[in-house]
Amino acid sequence: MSLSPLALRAEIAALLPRLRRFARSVTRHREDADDLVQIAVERALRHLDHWQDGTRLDSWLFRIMKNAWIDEVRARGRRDEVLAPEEAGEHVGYSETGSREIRLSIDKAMSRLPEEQRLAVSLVLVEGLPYKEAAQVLDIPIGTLTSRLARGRDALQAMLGDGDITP
Amino acid sequence: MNDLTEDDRIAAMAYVDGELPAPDLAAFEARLALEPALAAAVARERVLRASLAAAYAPALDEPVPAALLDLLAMPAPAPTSQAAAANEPITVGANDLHRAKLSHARRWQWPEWGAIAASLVLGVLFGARVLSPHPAASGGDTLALGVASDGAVTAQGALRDALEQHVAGIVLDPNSPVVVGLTFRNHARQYCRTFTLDNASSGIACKQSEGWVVAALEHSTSAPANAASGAGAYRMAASPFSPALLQAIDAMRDGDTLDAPAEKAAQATGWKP
Repeated sequence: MSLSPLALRAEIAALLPRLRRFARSVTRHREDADDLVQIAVERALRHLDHWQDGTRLDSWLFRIMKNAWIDEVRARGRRDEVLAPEEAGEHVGYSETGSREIRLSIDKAMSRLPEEQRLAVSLVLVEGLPYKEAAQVLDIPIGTLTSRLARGRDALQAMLGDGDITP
Repeated sequence: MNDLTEDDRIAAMAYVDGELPAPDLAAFEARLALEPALAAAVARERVLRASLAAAYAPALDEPVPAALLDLLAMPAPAPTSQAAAANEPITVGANDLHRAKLSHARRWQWPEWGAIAASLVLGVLFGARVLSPHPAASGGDTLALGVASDGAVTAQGALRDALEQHVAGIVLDPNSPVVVGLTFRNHARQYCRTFTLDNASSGIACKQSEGWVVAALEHSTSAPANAASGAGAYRMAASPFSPALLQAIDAMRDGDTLDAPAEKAAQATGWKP
């Protein structure tokens, strides 16, 4: 209400780095990630009036991205869903050589999580959303969110092992 | 390893996520001291959370593809001027709006930078630039920032020119998207100048050996709306700066702001301290 469409566009522009990070962790693929951000931003711009002042703009955009990604995964079906993990790993950004191994293994582990667990893990552990916000983004009760988080984390711990993620 | 109950594992997770309800916090922390299995679960969750955050943090540093910024741009006829070499300043121009799909070939043409701070600042600036209410007015000129190896953001293009050249209220390029405001010296005796970009972002830059280093930058969300409804002339409000920016100026300032003759004299020395 109080933010003009122009100001909202500016706010969304400022959120682009975070939207891309979220997309990267959800899609595990750089090009998919930017396509997802593009689709979500286009949808958001068509429905700027749906955003409610006083709610978090980032959560609203994450929710649009989640819906777009679920649509995309369904459209692709089982066949295309098997993105080669090696390829996905290659596309993970890293800047310090020292942490490369960790990032590759984390990305591979993330790519093996079921979609719903990966979304929960991305929102809470990568994006740092409070449970309440993350549950709203995913349209699920908080109890469901915490159980997806717990299962996702257990699976990640098991895949990464203590050795891989020792700081 | 998994001798904890489901409730305890969820509590350890919530504790690390800062989601344990306040009434339960003290009791949980008391148990941590006594139950090694619970403490180990908390430690594992902490490592996992930190590792995940670190794994995806570099995505924040990458330059946002032009096609994504274009989506948020206002219609603009000016052609894009693109940075070619790796250390060229980032050039923010108006791109065509009709790309239906991201072009994968164009995706990584812009150099990558190191500093998260720099990319956040640039994100704000990109936002300001693409939202220019009168992009045609600035034509094909470039409004740009560069990032030095130490992560400092330096003014390039139209912003640098304005900071160098605009003194004593004289504006050399009437189409410049930059308005230079006050000039003052900081505690290091460097010259610092305030500026406004596209009526939408305000900041402070100080002249150092590597150029005009941007010391503060903020995006004003109200200015574009005003400008969009206005006649197009740059609107100079009594104070274009927010209280936060005014505070920053006061904190940085050593002595009074320069008057017109003093600005000219400083310019004559190349703004050297």
